[in-house]
This record gives sequence, structure tokens and C-alpha cells, in this order.
Amino acid sequence: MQRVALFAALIAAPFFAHAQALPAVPQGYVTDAAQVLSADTRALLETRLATLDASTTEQIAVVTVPSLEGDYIEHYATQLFEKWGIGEAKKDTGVLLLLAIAERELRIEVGYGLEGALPDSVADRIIRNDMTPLLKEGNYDGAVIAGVESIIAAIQGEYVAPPQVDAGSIDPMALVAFGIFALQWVAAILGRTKSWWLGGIIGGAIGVVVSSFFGWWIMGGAILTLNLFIFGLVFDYLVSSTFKDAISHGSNPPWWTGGGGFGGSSHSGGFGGFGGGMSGGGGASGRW
Amino acid sequence: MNTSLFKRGLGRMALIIIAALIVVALYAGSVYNGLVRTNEGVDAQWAQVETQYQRRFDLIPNLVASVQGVMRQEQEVFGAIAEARTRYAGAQTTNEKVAAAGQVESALARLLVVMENYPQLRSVETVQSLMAEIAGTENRISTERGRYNEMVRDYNVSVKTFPRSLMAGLFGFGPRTMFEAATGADVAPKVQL
Repeated sequence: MQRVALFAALIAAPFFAHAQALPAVPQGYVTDAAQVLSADTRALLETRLATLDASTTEQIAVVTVPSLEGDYIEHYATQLFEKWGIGEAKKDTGVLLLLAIAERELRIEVGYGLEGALPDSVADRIIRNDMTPLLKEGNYDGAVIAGVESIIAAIQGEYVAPPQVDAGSIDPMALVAFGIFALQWVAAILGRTKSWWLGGIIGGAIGVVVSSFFGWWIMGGAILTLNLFIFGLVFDYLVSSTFKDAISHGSNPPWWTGGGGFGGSSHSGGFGGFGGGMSGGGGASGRW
Repeated sequence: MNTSLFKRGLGRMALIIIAALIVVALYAGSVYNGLVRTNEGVDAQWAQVETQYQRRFDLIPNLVASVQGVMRQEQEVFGAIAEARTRYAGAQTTNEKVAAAGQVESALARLLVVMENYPQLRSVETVQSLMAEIAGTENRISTERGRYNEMVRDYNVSVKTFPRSLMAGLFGFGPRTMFEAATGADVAPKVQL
């Protein structure tokens, strides 16, 4: 038994050694894992950063950690940036302001898309002039607010969300909504038919039609058809059995089988997750 | 009657073989596409590394110009930097570039060390800005190199592991070389001015 436990530990060890103590999920724009910021400061920053995100799609993440656990702050910051995906995915318009309390080190890590607006020398100046003096006094709230304001001043207007209503282009959200609607409609029909194979046939047929329409290379078309066939089979099986179950239990089938109306999603303003941006190690570090 | 049975068996066999061939062809095609994709990914990542090398390359003359006046006695370091830059500019192949970049790196590191003997440089704003840019660039280089190595590792695993290794050999995909991490090269030098 002991030997088994030891063996398991040995197998697991490399994974744990690799997984640093990165904060798992962002709590918002501000993740105060070291608990050095006041509630007022956090609330102030959340509002400020949500406004920035909404108007320019630039995302600033403020993170405090108690310790880097032996890692270098540059490496830690890049890893965290990549893991959370701060900033818009395609534009990489994110900035990470990271404070490591035990090491008395801080870093401004800049996403690819903002390297022009916030070059390393500017990030360095923000750290040296605006933040370090306050940090030396132990004034974390003041330092972080001053740092965030300076970062915003530097990046403001680098990416003003362009007016996106050009004629002829389709809003991607509308496309997604249409896709969901179409899927639900098909599900409603397939769920009510007793068969579990009809979906497969329909999927395969769609594959053939689409690939012949676009004149894809024969292999791509075959793969697409096969995938759609399998997807159709699984999909039909799933909705059919769900629908049957729900009916036999006398309850309403779930919405995605076309049983009820739309629930309607509630999305309040504020933090809605980061966008998937990347950084390439740009920025500046400092200590206090 | 026996012959017709035999013929029917042959026909069925031919069908099975054709079906098997189609499956193999589909599989080979998807493996080939996957290899092409990862190979292109490695190339793209190498371009990222080169971009940062170029950035460092462009920053050095500015730094040299801004400190040369104060550091008159250190002509040897400046000579080494100039020579390394010339070599990098003349490098053609990837391997030459990697070697020349290593030389630039060590010459630059020496300059940074020597600069610590000139505290009067600390107060110069241009020098400070340039140092921040160079530190940032060094960090970018190590980041992009790390990502390059990760991609090469993934690519090499797919080229060397069993079923795909056959296809890779057939299509002419060989393993690619990673950056040898010189001791401490994965960490950007700390510049304390």
C-alpha cells in the first residue's frame, strides 16, 4: 500500500513541480491574492478597468501574490498572462500589473498589441517614478492606483473600438445566434422522431452537399462528411433519448430539444472574463 | 459454380482492400497535414525569435552612442560588440545566426557589467530608457526562445513516435534542433542601474 502511494507520488511529482502556484482563476480585473489592497481600492479599480475594457477593449489585470515561490517575476508574469489570456484574442491588447509582496518585486507585462503604446522604457518609468516611491512607504493602494492611471494614460486611444457597421458584413454574434437557433430547430424535430439514425444521414448529406458545393479536395470532403455523419448520429441519439426521458418523467424537455422557450441570459456589466490575449515578455520589472 | 463463388470472394476481397487503402490514405493525409501545420508553426515561432534579435541589434548602436563618451577606457568592449554585430548582419543560415546572436549576447552582457562601474550613467534619462528597452528585449528573446523550444519539442515528438514516424520519413520531415540553453540564458539579465 505504501509502495503504491510512493509510486503514485513519483508519477505525480513532475506535474506538481511544473505547476507553479499561479492564481487559478481571475477574481475580476483585480486579483488581490496577497490581500494588500483595501476594499475601496478594489472597487474603484474594478469600475475604472471595466469602463476601459468597455470603451477600448483594452484589459488591465492587477494581481498581487504573496510570493513567487522561487520563480523569476518575468517568467511568472508571462506564464500568468498566457494562462489567463489578458486582452482581446486577436489584438493582444492586455496589460498585467503584478506585485510579489515577499520578494518586493513588481512587473508591468505588456501584451503584443500594446507594445507600441506602452514601450518598455515607459513601463520602467511608471514603475520607478509613480509606483516605487509609494511602495517603499508601504502604500500599496496608492501605488497600484497611480500605476493603473499611468498605464491607462499611456495606452488610451491606442485601440479605439472602430465603428464596425460596414455594409455587407455579418455580425458574428448574429451568426452564432442563428446557429444555435438552427441547431435547436433540428433538435426539436430529431428529438420527436423515434429514430436515432436520421441525424447521421442528415449530417452525412450536409457534408456531401457542402463539400461538393465548395469543391474541396476529396479527402477534406470525405473527412467532413464522416465527421458530420458521426456528429449527427450522436446528436440525434442524445436529443432523442433526452426527449424520451423527459416525456416519460412527465417533465418539460430541456430547452435545447425545443421543449420550452428561451430562458434569456443575464449579463450585467463589469468583469466578463479575459479575452485570450498573449504577451511576448515585453514590459519592465522593478523592486522596492 | 466453384469458380463463381471464388470470383465473388475475390470481388469481396478487392472491396475490402480498396476500403483499407482509402482509410490508410485518409490517415496519411491527416498526418501529413498535421506535420505541415506544426512545421509551419515552428517556422513562424523562429521568425518571432529573429524579430527580437533584430530589435536587440537595432538598440545596441543607440546604447553604445549614449555611453561611449563616458566610457572612454572601454574600447575593447565596444570593439567586441561591433564585431559581433557585423557577424550577425552577415549571417546567412539559421545556425550562423544563432551563433552570431550568442556572440552579440555575451558582448552586450560584458558591456552591461562594465557599465556598473560608471554610476554617473544612472542619472542619464536616455541611458535609463535604453537599459529598460534592452532588458525588455532580452526578456522577450528568452520568452520567444522558450516558446520556440516548446514547439520544436512537440514537433519532434510527432516526428519520432511510432506510427507517424513512418509517414514523417516518407514525406521527408526530419527532427529539428532546439536552442541549447546556455547556463542562465533562459533568464533575462537583471539590469540594476
